[in-house]
Amino acid sequence: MKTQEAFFALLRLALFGHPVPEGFSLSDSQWDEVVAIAQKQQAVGILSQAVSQLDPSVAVPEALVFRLMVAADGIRRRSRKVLALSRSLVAELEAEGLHPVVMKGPSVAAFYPEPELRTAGDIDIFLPEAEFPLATEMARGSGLPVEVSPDGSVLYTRDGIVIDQHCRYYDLHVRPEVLPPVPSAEATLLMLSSHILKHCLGPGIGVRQLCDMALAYRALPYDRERLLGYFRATKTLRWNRLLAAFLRDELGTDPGLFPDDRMRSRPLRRIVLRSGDFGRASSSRRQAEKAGTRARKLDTVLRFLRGIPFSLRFAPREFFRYAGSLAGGNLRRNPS
Amino acid sequence: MRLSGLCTLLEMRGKYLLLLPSSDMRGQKALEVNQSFAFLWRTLEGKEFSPADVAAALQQEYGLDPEDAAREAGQVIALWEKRQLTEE
Repeated sequence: MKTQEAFFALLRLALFGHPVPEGFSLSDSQWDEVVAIAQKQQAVGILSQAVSQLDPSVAVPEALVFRLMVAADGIRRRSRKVLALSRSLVAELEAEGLHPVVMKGPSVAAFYPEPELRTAGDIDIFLPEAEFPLATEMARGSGLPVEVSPDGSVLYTRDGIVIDQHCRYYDLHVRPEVLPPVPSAEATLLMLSSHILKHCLGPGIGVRQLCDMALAYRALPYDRERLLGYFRATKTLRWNRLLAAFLRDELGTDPGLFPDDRMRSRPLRRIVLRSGDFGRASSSRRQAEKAGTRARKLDTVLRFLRGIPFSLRFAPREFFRYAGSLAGGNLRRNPS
Repeated sequence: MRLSGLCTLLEMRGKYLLLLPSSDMRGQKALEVNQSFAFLWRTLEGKEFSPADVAAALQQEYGLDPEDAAREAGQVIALWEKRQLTEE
């Protein structure tokens, strides 16, 4: 069995309880490869859950079990820390009469069978435009260094965790009136989908965000027709068909948005496996991130150019808007 | 006495690890433990206990007679203390 297929089979087991194929068996070196894929994809917590769910008859190297136990414990600790900070931030903002919405991270972790096993990153918080300045003042007032990005979002670090305060909920370049109200199930799904798209057009995306999407579709009480209407209005229908195909073919869950669709997941699968978590599976991306802002921006532009055939095929409108923002120098930091 | 709150017991596929702080308190070290260790740890974790409580747990779980259970409990507690897994 190919290790990539094994990796996806294990994800399907952990996320949706789908049994692994009959005769599932990996050599020690194949197991090591599966762990390496999971590390690149920031999915070690999900892998550890899958391994703990595997039938005892499936041989797993003992050393690997111990490695996964320790790694999963670290992921759980970090998740608890991020969740606690996220709750406390929301409480502080709400105490001032503001209406923060936690985007991605801790809010989607709640959709997981074991939320703490989703590798936690930074905390993304959305605030309506009118409330944004006060929230920024609160961050500044706490004495923390605050960085303002060209797109208006505000970045600061608290207790070692990066907080990204957004005034834009969607990574889409469309008129606001065609977008769903925030918060709503449709808003969350469109936000997650457009976030994945933005990274596909640029540095790349990992499987963690695709798992988020799959579980959000399962958990949220969205209205299918309304959601399809938003996809049409934002000109992202073709992209969302590809995304749904990936969820169906690779993660084993079909959101049922496009019944009998023949689109295949391969173009997105290639990006996910090649780029990993926000492109960081690639050594050139990691080096560029270490080298500083200019190198990172250059790497993003090169990746953007390499991805043109994909972008023109699946999201031409967003591609041209994204090209415009790159040309305008709006990507002065890693947009993850 | 109590079990150290700085330790964490982990389990996967019938294997157990006890994570404990390294001697410089900057990192962690892992100790492989067996099922009966894990049983006692889970039974007593977060509680104040005496050697008699350990013996009672061993009696109940493994059907040991009182003398054997008391002897086992003494050995287990001595090991825990040697490894600095307990606190007063």
